[in-house]
Amino acid sequence: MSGPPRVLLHWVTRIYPRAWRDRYGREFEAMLEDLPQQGQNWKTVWDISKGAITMRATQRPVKLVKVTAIFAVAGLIVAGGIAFAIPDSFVSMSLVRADSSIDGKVLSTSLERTLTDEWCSA
Amino acid sequence: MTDPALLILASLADGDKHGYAMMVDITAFSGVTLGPGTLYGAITRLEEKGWIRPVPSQDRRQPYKLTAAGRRHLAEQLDSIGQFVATGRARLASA
Repeated sequence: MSGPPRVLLHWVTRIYPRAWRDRYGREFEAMLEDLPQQGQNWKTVWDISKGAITMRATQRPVKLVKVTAIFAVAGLIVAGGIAFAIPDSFVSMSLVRADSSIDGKVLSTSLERTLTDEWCSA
Repeated sequence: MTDPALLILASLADGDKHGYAMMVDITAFSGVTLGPGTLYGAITRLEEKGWIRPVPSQDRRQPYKLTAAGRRHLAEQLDSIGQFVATGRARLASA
């Protein structure tokens, strides 16, 4: 599995609060450029994202609306990823019932089957 | 020992370093690899507490140094850890 593009490491840095980026952004970017190829992996992307979200959640004063929005967006991204990862499926059900009757009186229910078709995308 | 803050203080105890140099040094002496987000989260907290401070530099790579307060805190933590290690070893030996 190939690693993330280098530009992604710099892109996730933008999740950090503006004040933090103003203070530490330049040196943080310089450090990312020093990382060897094997250090530029999805684990690093996750580590930076986690650091940025933690920084936002703990900054003073706590901006509750922003933190809520960030977690809402993160939840949507995760949910969307899961939704697209699960293959589409189609289920149809039909009930077939045959009764024997004389003069409108039902004598027996001879056949009742539920037919179910399932179709899943590849 | 995996506490990022303590690892950074220990790394700076023998000289000023910038972020990547700290990362490499910490991996070498402790076997722990700190990610960039974890490292800079700890650097931010340590600077806020006054235990490290940036060293003037023309380079984009910003070196940090241990302050006197940071040196005292590191010494206290190492004493505490040393006591824990000694107690643990003594109990293991007597068990």
